[in-house]
Amino acid sequence: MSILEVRDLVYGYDSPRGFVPIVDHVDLDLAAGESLGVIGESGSGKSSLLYAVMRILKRNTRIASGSVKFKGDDLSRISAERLGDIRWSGMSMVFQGAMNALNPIIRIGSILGEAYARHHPRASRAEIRDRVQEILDLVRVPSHVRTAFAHELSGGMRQRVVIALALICHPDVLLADEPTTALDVVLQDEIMARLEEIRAKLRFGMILVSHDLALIAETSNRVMVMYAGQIVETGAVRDVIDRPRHPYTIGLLQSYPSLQDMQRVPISIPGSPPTPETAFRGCRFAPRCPMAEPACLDWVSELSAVEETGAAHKVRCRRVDEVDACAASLYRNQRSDA
Amino acid sequence: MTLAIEGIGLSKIYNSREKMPGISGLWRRKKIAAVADVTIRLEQGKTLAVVGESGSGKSTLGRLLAMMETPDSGSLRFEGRQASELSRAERLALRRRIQMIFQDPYESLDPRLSIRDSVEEPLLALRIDAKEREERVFAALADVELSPPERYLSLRPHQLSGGQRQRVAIARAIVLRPTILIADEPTSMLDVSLRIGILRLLERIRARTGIAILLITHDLALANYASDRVMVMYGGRVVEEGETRVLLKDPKHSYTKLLVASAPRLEPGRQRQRLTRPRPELIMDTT
Repeated sequence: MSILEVRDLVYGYDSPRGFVPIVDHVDLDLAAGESLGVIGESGSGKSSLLYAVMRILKRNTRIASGSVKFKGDDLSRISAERLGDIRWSGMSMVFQGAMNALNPIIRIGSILGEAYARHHPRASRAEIRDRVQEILDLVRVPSHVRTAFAHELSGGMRQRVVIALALICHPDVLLADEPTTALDVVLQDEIMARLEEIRAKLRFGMILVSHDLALIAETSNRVMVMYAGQIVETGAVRDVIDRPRHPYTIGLLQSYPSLQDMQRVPISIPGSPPTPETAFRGCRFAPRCPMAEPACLDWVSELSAVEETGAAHKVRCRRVDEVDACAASLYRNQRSDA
Repeated sequence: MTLAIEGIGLSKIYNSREKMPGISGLWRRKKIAAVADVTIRLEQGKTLAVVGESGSGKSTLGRLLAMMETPDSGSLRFEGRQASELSRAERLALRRRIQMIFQDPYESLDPRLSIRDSVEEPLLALRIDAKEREERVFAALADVELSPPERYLSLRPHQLSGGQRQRVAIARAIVLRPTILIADEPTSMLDVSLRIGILRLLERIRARTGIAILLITHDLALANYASDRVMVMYGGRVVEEGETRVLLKDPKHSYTKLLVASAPRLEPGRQRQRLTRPRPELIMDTT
C-alpha cells in the first residue's frame, strides 16, 4: 500500500515557445517506511520532481498534468491551507544546501521550535522545548547547540540540525535532496548512518535524491534513474546495480571511482546532459549513447519491464535485449572525456 | 627527480576565539594551527594528492604553496632558492608560475566576462600584445578540450555546464604556462559522471607540459586515479604519506583506515562500519 502515489506527473515552465517540461510523465510509488533513491546528473529533473511533489512551485512553473496522492489527498489540487498542514507534519524535506540557509539571527532551538509550534498550536513552551531536545538527541547534536546561532556550528553540525528540522513533526515521508553533497566523505558516512538509524526507529518513508550512486546503493531499497526529465530505469537497487539494462545507468556505474576495485578504470559519459528546451526526437539519451542506432531517434520511448528480473525492473531502451551482452565493453572504445 | 617546489616545516597559525563555557558573553582567545610543521615536496611532472576532511588544513597548505598566505614558520624553496630571499619582482614572476583552480566553477568565474575575456585577463597584466594573447587564449581553450574554441569565446559562464566552466577555470590557469598547478577540490562540485573527465584532462595537461600538480581532495578514490603520491592530513599534520597505490592498499595510520572505510562503494545494502575517529589537536594554547 503506497503512502505516496505519483501518476503521470508533468511539471515545467512556460517559455515564449510554449510549455517546457522539466519532469516528463513520471510515475512514482513509495510504500510506508520504504526508501527510494532518485539518481541522475545535474539538470535531469530529479530535484524538480521533489519540488513538484511538495508543490513548491517557482515562479513561472506549473504542474501541467498528473496527480500526487499522499494518503488520499491530491497535493496538486488541494487548497493551499490544507497543503500547509500536510507539509512538514505529513511530508517534509531536506533542501539542497539548506545548511547554508539557516536563519543567521535566530537561535537553533527557536528555529526548530517554530516548526513544531506551527503544527501544534496548543503546545506549551515546555512541550516545545522537550520536543526540540528530543529531536536534537536523536541526531546527536549536543544540547548547548539549542542556544547557538547557525554560524557558530560546523558544516556537519548544521546538516544534522537541518535533518532534525525536517523530522521534528514526525513526518511519514522525508524528501532529501542531496543531503550530504557538501560534506566530506567521513561526515557523509556518519550522517547517512545516523539517518538510517533514525529511519529504522521512526519508520518514515524516504526519497533520497543524489548524483552519487554509491550513496543510493547503500541506503535505498529501490532506485529510479532519471535522464532529461524521464525515468530511464527503475527497480530494486540490487537489480539495477548488479544488472543495469540502460546504457545510461551502465555509464553512471562505470564512471564511479572505486577504492575496492582499483584495477577498474572509470570512464566518463561523453557529451553533457541536454537542457529541457532541447527539441527531443526519439530516445533522449541517443546522442550520447554508445549503442545508439539511427532507429533510436525515431523510437517512441516507453518504460517496459525486464523479463529476467521481473515486473518491478523497468527500462526505457529500444535495444534493451542487447544491452546485457555488451555492457562490459560499452564505453571502452571511445575517447574518455566529457 | 627535479623538485618544482619544496615546503619545509610549514606552519600557519590563525587567531580565533571561543565562548567561555558556562559564562555568557565572555570569550577567550585561542590560537589554531591550521597547518603544523608540514614538509611537502612537489616533483616536476608528478601529481601529489593531499587528502583529508574539512578543516584538516589541506586548503591552507595549498594556499601557502601558492604564496597566497605567508607561513608563520618554515620556508618555501623554489628551484633551490628560498622564497623569502627573493626580490619583489622575482616573487611576482614566481607567483605567475604557480596557478590555482578552485572548487566552485560557479563562483570562480566572473559572470559578466565572456569566456575569451576570462581566459585573456591574466595575460593583460603581462603586457603581451594582442595577437599573441589571442593565440594563447585559443591554445588554452584547445588544451582543455573546449573545441572548437570559437564556439565558446563569446559565451558567458551561465551558458556553460559545470564541467565546461571548470574547464574554463583550468584554461585560465594554464594560459600563463605555469610550472605548478594547485587544484583545490576541482571536482567536488561536479557530477560524479564528469569528475573522471576533469581529472583525465589534468593528467593529459601534466603529461604534455611536465607541470607539477598538487591535487587537494577529500575523496581517496579520486586520489587513487589521479596521483603518484598521496599525503593524508589530519588536524593540520601529515599523518601518512607514500606512493598512492601502496598507501591505499595497506593504510597504516588509524585515520587513513577510517578514510578508506568511509569511501562510498557500490554495494547495495552495505553495513556501514562504525569507526570512531581520533580527535584532532588543533588548538595550540588558550590565553
